[in-house]
Amino acid sequence: MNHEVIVTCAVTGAGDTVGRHPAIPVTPAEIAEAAIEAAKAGATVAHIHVRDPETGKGARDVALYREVVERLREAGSDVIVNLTAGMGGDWVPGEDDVRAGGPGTDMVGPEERLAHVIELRPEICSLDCGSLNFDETVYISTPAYLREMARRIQELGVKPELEVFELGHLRFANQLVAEGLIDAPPLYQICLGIPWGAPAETRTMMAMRDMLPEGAIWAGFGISRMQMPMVAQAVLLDGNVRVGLEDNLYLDRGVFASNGDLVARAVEIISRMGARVLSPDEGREKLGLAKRA
Amino acid sequence: MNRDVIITCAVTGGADTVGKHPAIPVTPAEIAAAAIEAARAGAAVAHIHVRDPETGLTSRDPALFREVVARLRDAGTDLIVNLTTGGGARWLPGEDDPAVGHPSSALAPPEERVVHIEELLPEICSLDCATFNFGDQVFMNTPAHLRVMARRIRDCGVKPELEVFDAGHVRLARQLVDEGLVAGRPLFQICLGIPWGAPADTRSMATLCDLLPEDAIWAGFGISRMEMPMVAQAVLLGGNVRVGLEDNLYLERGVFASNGALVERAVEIVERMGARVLAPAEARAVLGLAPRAA
Repeated sequence: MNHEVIVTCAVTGAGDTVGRHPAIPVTPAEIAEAAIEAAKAGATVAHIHVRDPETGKGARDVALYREVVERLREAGSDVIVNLTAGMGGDWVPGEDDVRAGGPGTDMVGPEERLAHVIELRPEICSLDCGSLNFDETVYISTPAYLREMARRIQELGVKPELEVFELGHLRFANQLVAEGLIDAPPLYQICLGIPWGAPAETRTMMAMRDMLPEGAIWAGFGISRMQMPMVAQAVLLDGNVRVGLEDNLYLDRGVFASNGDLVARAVEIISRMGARVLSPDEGREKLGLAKRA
Repeated sequence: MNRDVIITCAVTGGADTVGKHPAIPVTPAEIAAAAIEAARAGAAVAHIHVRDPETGLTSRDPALFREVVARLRDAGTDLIVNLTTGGGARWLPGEDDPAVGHPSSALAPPEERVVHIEELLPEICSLDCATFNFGDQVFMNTPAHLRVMARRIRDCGVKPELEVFDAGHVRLARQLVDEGLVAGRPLFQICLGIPWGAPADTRSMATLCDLLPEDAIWAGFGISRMEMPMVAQAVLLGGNVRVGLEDNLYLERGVFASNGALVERAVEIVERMGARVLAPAEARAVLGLAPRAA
């Protein structure tokens, strides 16, 4: 069991959730505020996506990330910033030519996927270590793209969080580590329950935990109503946790959650299990992050 | 443990192995001969890909499948034929526009990927319930494409073998079953060790087989030198097995295998574990396939 737990709050994500919850953070101001709210409730790390302020849909405009990061800095927030690098891999086969992306496609190369990371140099950025059917869309990160992205992230001195949705993704993440493309200690995020990735349950989390290289630091989460059960499971299996509106919209059946509520509940579970939640500075020490000036 | 074991032999596959082994079956005649050799050694099922006879590279030309099936019928073999539908799924991003497939991408419309099944009506065909990085390429089988293929396979009365390479693939396959797109007891093939799918070890096979629906019939295999260890593992976990040159080129370190030699070795393992290898007619009964007219 992990007695010193890093809590990440994934405050908004890029899912099409704006119409399904009354207060999904959309504008940079709302997203920064959500991260601060999560930090106040006890989150060590904020995992951040941005959205088009007009449409509410997931975006990857560098200016939007810049505004969120500036707002967090101006607010004097100590929370560790983890920017997604998962955007730009959505692909849907076209109707006429299946080999060309059709409507719903946002597929760009490795350098473009990292444009905001290159400019803003967050302490952490995510790196999705494989391709999968992500619901009805294909999420594509090829081995060649991932090697190039990992190399670039390493040069920037940003810590990659290796997101894995399947056993095979973890295998490839381990391969990146073995190739020297990831600095020690490698940081993994085991993402469970997303259709059609590995399901959110004890056995898959255990199987993936068992595949991690020695010295790895990891967190794991489940989506929707498996979010809180998987908080307990990850702590039991020696991992860190992630909650937030990206992964789950409800605090209880029929009760919409806020990011603050979800973090507070995770903290309650963790502390009642006899473990402690780490502050951002303690989190930095555990992750080997140098505090940014 | 499974005491009545169905052995599938995957006789050639679609990988670029022709230069790596002296006797990969390439022409329809060679592929049919390989299936017959496997059957003689104890295989109940032959899983069949075809290759371009000129280049030795993978093909999905219905004429080639037709010739293999005709040759097997003419030879009077009782073997259960399992034709792949995995051709036409490879995709790589283009160099100029990553949203447009690289010219080497083979991705084809789902209807085209089952034309040989609709024409030849094999007893079984594979259905890859998976999008993942298969080596350096994306193996692309979207839920929408899978639904089209599954419906056509169901409507022509062929039994799909639901191939899964990772945990989420089992979930997607189960979804197709729940949507009524798979008739009869669902048949799964747990494919392990392919980069970058789940690794070939006890933990992955146990994890994936625990995720199967209760009434599933399943087989599992590992590639390369994990082929024979995973024969034992699948039997122990209650499954059937698959071997063959598609998955592994060697009988031992430095010794090239034949399909017959791989099946024989699997039979030896299965029998020494106290289990029995099923004949094609017995396997048909287990799989719910119509018995063959004598």
